[in-house]
Amino acid sequence: MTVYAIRKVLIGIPVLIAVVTLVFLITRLTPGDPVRQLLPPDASEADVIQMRKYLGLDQSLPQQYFRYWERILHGDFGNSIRTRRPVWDELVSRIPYTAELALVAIILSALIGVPIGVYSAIRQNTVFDGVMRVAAFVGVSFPSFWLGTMLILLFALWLGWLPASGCDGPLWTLAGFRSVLLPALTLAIGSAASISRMTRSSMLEVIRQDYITVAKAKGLRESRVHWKHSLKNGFIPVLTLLGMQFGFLLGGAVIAETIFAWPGLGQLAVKAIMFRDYPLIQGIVFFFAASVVLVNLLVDLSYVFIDPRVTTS
Amino acid sequence: MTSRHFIRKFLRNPLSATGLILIIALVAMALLAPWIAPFDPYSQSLLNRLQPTTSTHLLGTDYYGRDVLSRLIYGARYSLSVGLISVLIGSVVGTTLGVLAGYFGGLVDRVLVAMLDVLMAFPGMLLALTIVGFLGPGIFNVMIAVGVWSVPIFARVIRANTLVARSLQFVEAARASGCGHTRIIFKHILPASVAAILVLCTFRMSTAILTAAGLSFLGLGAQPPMPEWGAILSESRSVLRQAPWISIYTGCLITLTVVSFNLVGDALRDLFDTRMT
Repeated sequence: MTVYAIRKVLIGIPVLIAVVTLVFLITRLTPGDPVRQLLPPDASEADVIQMRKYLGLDQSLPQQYFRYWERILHGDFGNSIRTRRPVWDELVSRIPYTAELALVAIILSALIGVPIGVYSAIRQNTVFDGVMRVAAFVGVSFPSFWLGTMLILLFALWLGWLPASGCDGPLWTLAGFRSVLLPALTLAIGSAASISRMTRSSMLEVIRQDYITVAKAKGLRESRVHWKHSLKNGFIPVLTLLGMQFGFLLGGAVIAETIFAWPGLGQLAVKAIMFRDYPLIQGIVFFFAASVVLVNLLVDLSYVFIDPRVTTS
Repeated sequence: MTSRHFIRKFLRNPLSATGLILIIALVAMALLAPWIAPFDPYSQSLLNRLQPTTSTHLLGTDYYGRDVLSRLIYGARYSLSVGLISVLIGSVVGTTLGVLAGYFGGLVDRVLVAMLDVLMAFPGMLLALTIVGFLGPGIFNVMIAVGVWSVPIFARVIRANTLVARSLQFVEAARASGCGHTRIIFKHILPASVAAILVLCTFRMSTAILTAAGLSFLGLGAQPPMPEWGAILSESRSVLRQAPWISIYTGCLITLTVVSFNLVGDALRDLFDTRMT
């Protein structure tokens, strides 16, 4: 198991190196001089030279690349151009909010998607199955930015049940829980639709297997057969999708956080892009990529626990 | 399956037929915008601000008194062209890379696959955001960003198809009879992937329209007063309480467009029996 885990980590490292290199190259090869874009139009030549030196852009490309890595390995992502604060500090202050939002969203999407998928498979070709399939189809086509706006309109402006924006405290307080619900639901609906579709098709394959017929013939209760035996065996594709949804959630978090003024990384990313704050953009992209690689690794490792047929050899 | 049989089968399916009719209607709306839009999408009338549905303004007016229906009709031009151009970028570059990797194999394949794996490791929306982040906000940069996101998706599918086609007997026969690489690729390999390219293009259209609208919604794509659907939705947020209809109509139109392309994509995939892995 340890060897398996180490091998999986080793596979993730080149991806991370390549992502960092890609981000580095995009920044350096983007048309236009970033220094000129950062400074006001009336900046003097001396200001330009000083800024270029400050950003390390006066060195050759390979030198810049190695220096870039050296700093990243020391946990130094530079300073934000907009706020002058270290990028690392900016990230650390925002990560808990995005993590909380992503966590609640993934739990909500599993809680909505898995039961609907299982029930649709058990009741294949019934009215419930038909309605849920249409709902899932529309769900994956639904623009999350519009869904968020509509949730605000319904639950905050018309009904007044939940706050329209901001984070009102930690998740375990009532105010905090209430404030995370709408942004998390905005993120969860699309994922839940994909998860229910995947669960349904995965379950349909499993419930036709002989061991399910045997389990039923032995007189086990139908609910036990489906929720324990079928779901456990059909869960690997669903779990892979859940892992993939994490990346999707991070992308979606940018939109949900902007709509709901949620003080996480997504909102920070949009501000950084608006201000062309390159060091901050690099830091955020690195963090996003690293977390996607990490979650995929955890998903790979969890296969062994869920399905013993997956060997670690 | 003959083409006539194929078309008949496609149109007999009520879902795919509905999707196709909706797409034709949307394209017609975009092309005929100057003739069918009741007002100029940019013309402001401060006396008619935030009006609900009236006989003059069927879908009401926005904060600047502009006719919402006219803006949505003109918006189809921007949203559909963003989708089309980004899918074009993704399909041309992706297909080229996929064919090169699959056909030549060896080092070319290994390098290209490694590059594509890196792009695939990036969640799509984040990749698009990163590219827009470095290129700067604007509708053209959004087209490039969404196009680049599609590249690895096309390349992977086309590479797999090319690998299969490369070892088929008629390709080996063509090679044995002295055909050059270019002729083999264009005459024998690419035609075998047309179905997959068509299905992917349809699905990517819906993703491209959705992503581009999302980026415009964030203020990173089309800039006001351009009547792009995402930008209209973004502008409508500030008057959500007073004029919710702007958000509702615009969102419905975006969803309808995405659903239409997905319906047609689903039907084509089933008819061609293509695997999209």
